[in-house]
Amino acid sequence: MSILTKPTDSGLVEPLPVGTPQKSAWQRYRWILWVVVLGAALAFPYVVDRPRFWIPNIGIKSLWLGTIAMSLVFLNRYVGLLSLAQMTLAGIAAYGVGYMVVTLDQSVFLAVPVGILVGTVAGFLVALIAARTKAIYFLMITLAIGQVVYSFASQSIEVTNARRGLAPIPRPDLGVVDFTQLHIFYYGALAAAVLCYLLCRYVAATSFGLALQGIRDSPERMSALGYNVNRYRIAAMTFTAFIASIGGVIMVFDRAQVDPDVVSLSSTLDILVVAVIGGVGSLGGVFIGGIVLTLLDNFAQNVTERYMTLTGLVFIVVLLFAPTGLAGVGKQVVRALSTRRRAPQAPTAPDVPTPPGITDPSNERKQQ
Amino acid sequence: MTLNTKRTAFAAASAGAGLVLLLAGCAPAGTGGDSGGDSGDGGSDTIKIGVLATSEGNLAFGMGEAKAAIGVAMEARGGTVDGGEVGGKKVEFVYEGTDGTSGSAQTKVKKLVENDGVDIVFGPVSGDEGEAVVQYALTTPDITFVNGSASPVSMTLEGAENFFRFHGDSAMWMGGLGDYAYNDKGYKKIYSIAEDYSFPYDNAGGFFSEFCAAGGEVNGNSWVPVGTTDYATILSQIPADTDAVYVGLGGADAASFLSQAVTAGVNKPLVGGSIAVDTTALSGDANIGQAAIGTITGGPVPGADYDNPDWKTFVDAYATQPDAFPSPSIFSILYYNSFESLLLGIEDVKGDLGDGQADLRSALEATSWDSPTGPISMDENRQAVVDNFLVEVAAGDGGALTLTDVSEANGVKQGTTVYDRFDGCP
Amino acid sequence: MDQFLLIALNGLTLGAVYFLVASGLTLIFGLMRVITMAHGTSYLLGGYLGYVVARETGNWFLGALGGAVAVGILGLLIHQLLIRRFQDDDMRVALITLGVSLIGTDLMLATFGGTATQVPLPPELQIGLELPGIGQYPLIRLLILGVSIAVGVGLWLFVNRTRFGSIVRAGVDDSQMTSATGINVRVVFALIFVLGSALAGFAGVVGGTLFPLLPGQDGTYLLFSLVVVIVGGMGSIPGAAIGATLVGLISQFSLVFAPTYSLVLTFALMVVVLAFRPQGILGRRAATA
Repeated sequence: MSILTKPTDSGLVEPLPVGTPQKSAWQRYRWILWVVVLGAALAFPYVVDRPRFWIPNIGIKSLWLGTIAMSLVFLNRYVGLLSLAQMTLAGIAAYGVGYMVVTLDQSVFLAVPVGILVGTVAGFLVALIAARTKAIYFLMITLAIGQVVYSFASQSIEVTNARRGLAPIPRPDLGVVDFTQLHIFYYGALAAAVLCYLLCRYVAATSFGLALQGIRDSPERMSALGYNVNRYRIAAMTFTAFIASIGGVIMVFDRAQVDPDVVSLSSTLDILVVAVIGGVGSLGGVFIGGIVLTLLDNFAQNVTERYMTLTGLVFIVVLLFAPTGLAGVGKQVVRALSTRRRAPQAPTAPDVPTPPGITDPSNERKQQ
Repeated sequence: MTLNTKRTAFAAASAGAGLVLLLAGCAPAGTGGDSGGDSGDGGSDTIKIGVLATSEGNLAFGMGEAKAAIGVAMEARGGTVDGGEVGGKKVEFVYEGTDGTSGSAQTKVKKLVENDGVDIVFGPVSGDEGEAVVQYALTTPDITFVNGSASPVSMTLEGAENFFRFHGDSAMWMGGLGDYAYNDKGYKKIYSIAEDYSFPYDNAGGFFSEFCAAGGEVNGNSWVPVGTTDYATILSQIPADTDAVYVGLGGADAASFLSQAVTAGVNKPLVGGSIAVDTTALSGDANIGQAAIGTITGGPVPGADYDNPDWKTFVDAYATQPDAFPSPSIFSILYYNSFESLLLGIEDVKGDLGDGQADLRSALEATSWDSPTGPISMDENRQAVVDNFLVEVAAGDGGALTLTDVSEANGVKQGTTVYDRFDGCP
Repeated sequence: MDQFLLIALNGLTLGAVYFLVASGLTLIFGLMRVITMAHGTSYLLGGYLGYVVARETGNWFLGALGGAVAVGILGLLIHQLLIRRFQDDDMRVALITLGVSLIGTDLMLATFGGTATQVPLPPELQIGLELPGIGQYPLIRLLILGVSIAVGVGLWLFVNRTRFGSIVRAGVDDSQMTSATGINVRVVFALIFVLGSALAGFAGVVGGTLFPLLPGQDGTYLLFSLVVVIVGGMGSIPGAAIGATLVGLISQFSLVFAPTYSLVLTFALMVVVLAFRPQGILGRRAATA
């Protein structure tokens, strides 16, 4: 990454406007977006015509898909690693909850923390193996580790009950908060997703997060400065495993069961599709990706029999023409409009973000 | 700037949290109770049936077979695969394709019930899906569920009073075969090779419990992971003194096994699990001919020479359906028997779904008719008591393979054992 | 002992198929530094096309040729339309080819259906051969082992001993400098991609002769090729041979001694290798930061 660029919190790696310390319109008015999005999310159960369909199939599923994809995006954006193990970690957390509830007959008060703990520890172990590699190697290794877990989950009768899986895992009625009611569960999931988002933003802004970004941009320099690059990467992956585990806990109560399909290759690819469509550089964009995927999943059949082909085409088109995802497209439009209004004669900053939203390849190449 | 953003974000979040508390107090219409959509009112003149079948993945042909089955039953009543009139009521269908996984079945069954407002769910195809749909049925007592072809033993033992299965489970599909192998074929020792998941557990469990009770001996089990394509080493494990080999494999795994058994020179007689030599596997032209001839197997699919006029009527009607296979597969047969049972029930109550579909369910519980594959009646778990077929693979015309009937087991009832991986006898 | 030899030979011959698939992947990576996630799709498509051609013509060799050429041409299209522009962005290439594989899986299912097929083999090759210490052994497996060794040696000579190979290696190390010497690096890369894809297509025909072809095999073979090249060291052809042999042996031995976890063990091999040598057995240090 060149000196002229810095990561901003608008979700893109974009060129610094030369000599303009002024905030962009995007940054000044983004709170409006926040209010609109949150308002829509809160009103959602009350405005849809068939809440018992829309809340679980679109609402709750988008939330857990998004939360798990967010952990992938965090890792990619702040650490420069593209992990395909995030769904696997979420699945491990889900299995943790399932094992506690179904096999050991424990209460959810114990099951949920244990599930999250199991998922997070699994993330730490995966990190120990995978953090020594990077870029394309990291992608392949996390993919293969996911397959180890999938084959184990499919085979182990004692732990995962093999293909039958663990069921039922009912949503709890906690007295004050009755999660058996769909809309309550939806708000619970929404609150968890928003908290995860804020936590990711917070961590990224701490000195730890800044060090991560330093490592992403130049591991050699950070190493020379005395940072233990490996340990930082492991810590970051463990943190994202924690986020993914929360997504996994929402998932397991949404599905009321857990079986090997949750850690299968196609589930892993679902998360990747969500992240790419939403924009691999945008923490919030993942929820757009989640909504797009769930809508396709539920309604594409009305249009075409070839649902997977459609999904694949959307995926490729986004990668080719909008590497920052749908969230990025929105931002580009906003920025283009405001730029035209403010300074029609001479825009100082190019509006096109540096592709790719992934990691800077020229830099990658030099390190190899 | 970062700080600023954070403050905005936290403000929004706390405002949001406040709103959540307010909103959570009052539930949106239709989320509180357990009932789904606007179904269950019974007053409407249209009965909506949601059909679940596989349209993606390895069982992608499941939807075609389901539609063929529905087509046969509806055309006999002057209707079509899109709807018609049954018991004086208009019947409509909503088809939802799945990919054979539990997650997909969960999504689609919710969509059928909650979005499309169906009164009755008919399906699904695979066992993974079936177990998920039963769990869902337990949470939606106002909808009646009629199974498609999913066969895990456990499904009708879950106590879902709105769930009906009008065909045998995978252990019942082996009913009579253990006795036949021991007494008629004279196999005393059998080596078992089966895929390592719930369907073969139940299927092999049904066979070996009967075979062992008759006095037979299991001289080894190989449980191989699903998707194993290289059987060279497994084949070399078969003991020389075994009388026969039980092949509890399905689809491609079975085809691999059979073709490699030829090149490896294995000449033991085979006992097939219910999906090892299904006609769909035989019509895929893998080099399995040689090894398959003489294999005995059991299941709900009768042999080509099955002598029953109802069966011939069904086969002829099936052949006129678009996308029909040369002969009906296990899926179209099970879907047809289940669907016809459902339609008979609807006709019985003259299309009256009132009173939480109570009348319809009583009618379904009392189902008793002569299906193309023999009489179907119900036990107290809303699980069918059926005839089971023992067939043998034989060389047909022009090198093709056919299944010929060797025996039938009448009135096979469900056991209560859900089998797991076992060594020796179950 | 006989038992041990037999399982070992089974492992070697299974490894031969894995090597054929993985060789194209490692060739492309070794020379172009990109990974194509559509490699399993190329394998399955090659197998299906080989099946169709061999069935229609009754000639296995025409099937193999047809599968390889057709998949090679498709590889050229994919390279020119989707990959060429992002030659330097390995992550984006991986993701785009992943998208290609999503589409390919679906379209192959629509075209060839969900039932298993197998490339027909001439009956004269469907025989057993008497081997000392083992007994009857399928001839076809030995032939595949031979083909695989020949392809491996040929590729190694091609990359390390021919002028074209040295041009390619120079192009990777410094593409501008190589261009300056009047060599069209783009054409060279396109040819390598075509060759790698054609190898996958050929492997599909060979593998589809021994094992069935059906939806899902694309993902399976992609994963096995990834494991093979990660274990052996990415970009190294001898490494892929070692990796494929190890994967083949482990999967056959574990089928006998720990069948429940045989797949887990195969993937666990990769984890163990990475724990000690992150760059793979014969890989260069470049894998780590």
